[in-house]
Amino acid sequence: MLRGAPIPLLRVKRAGQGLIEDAVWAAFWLAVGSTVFAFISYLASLIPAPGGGG
Amino acid sequence: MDPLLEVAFALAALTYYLGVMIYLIPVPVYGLKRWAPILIEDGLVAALLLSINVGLLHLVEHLVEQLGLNMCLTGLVSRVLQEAIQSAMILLRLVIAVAGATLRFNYAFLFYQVNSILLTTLTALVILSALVSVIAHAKTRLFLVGLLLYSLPFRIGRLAGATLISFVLVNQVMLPLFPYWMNYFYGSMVPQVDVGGGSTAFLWGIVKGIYGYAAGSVVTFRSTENPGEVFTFLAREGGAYYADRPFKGIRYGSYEVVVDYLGYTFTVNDSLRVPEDLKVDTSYPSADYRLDLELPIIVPGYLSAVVLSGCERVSVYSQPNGVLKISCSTGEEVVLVETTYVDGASVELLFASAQLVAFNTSRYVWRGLKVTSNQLVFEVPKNASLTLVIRYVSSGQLESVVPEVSETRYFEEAHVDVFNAIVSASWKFLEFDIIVSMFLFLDTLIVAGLARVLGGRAVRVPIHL
Repeated sequence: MLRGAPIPLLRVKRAGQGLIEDAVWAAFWLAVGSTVFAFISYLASLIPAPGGGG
Repeated sequence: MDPLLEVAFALAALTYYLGVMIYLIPVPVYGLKRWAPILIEDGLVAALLLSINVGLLHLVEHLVEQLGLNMCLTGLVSRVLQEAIQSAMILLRLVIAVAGATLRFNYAFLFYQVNSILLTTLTALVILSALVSVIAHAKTRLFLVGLLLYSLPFRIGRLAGATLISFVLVNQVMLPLFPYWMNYFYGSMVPQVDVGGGSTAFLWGIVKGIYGYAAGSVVTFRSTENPGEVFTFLAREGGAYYADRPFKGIRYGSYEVVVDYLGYTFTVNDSLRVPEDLKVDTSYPSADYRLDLELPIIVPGYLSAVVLSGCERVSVYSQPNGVLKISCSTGEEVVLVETTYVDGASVELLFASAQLVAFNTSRYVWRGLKVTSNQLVFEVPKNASLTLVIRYVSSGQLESVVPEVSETRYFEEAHVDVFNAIVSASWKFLEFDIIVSMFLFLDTLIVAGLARVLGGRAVRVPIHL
């Protein structure tokens, strides 16, 4: 790139990349949030079900 | 759902979405963004732990009950030991005073040393009593508060929450073991509690009626030598009860055996000698003996009964579709038939060969189950026999219905060899102190260990012996 450029372009690129990647992860976890919580409740409902009679 | 639990769930969800939002911040604040995945994971772990919350506590309680342990003996034993220590302290004062008066040496320094050691033992015992009270009364509350703290975002209360959770779970199992601990070192200090299988019989048996097996009946062995020592078992599928767990074997001695089924109580044996009266049986690997119990009733199906009074001889013929033909030969003129069943099942009378004179129904609650009992009075011509045809019908949900019973070994009072305790406290005072305090220390170590597993970080244990 241009040496001595007024903006640290590489650093901005890296930071920007990091921000976009984080935003993608955020979107992912946001979307699956309710599904994951529902899955956890399902797992939890399995656990005491067979027990208690031994 | 408990309000604390609702708040905790909300906190777990908050933690999760906080993590998501931190990911979304357009400013590259790396110190904060490092927390984002941690928060997401914490939210999920907290949600999982919250969902199994009370199940976990019940699981541990169930485990303890199945082993045959309970907390009351620990409380009783520690109180008796406290009194023994106080007697030892009085004895000590007396000895020192007499020695000081008769011999010209001043034993005061000795007194202070020994007294302070005895005081430490007393403190440990008082702490034990306090722990028993706390766990017995407040375990659910403490557990929920622990869960709440655990769910706070940014791991603020993680350590405290994990410690509280493990405190409740570990003490639930550890505290009932105190009398066994004392007995292990001091032989027969608590004679009701035996360590090592020398004098315990492990047995199983089937509770049967004239026809059928009385699954769901509650078998109680009550000691005739030590009043207040009671073992309770539940007869499971097939009518079999098992006294085969480590702390639930039956001690050698003499017992009264009582079976409680649907509100009918039968004293099957009023002086059973263990193990002389037991039959040696090797069909079940965990038990050496077998003791079958016979009840004078007919069991047409699960949690139902037909009781006949006034019959000399009863024969039962089984027919397809759950139908039973009962033949009662009697010399009386009046026969009383009671059909009893639990909600969800019914015993129907299809045919009777004599005239029904009176009919009465009553409903009551037996161990948490609603029971219906029909009393039918038949007039039978002299020396004839009464034939009944009944049918047992059950709805599908009956398999999971179980009477409420706490299968523990229960002592109403602690029989502690007080003389043994006072002698040990006085003569071996240092050792006695160490043994009692060591129990509490081990308890704390195990709590810290489990807290570390839950909380992911080492818990510091202040060591003070």
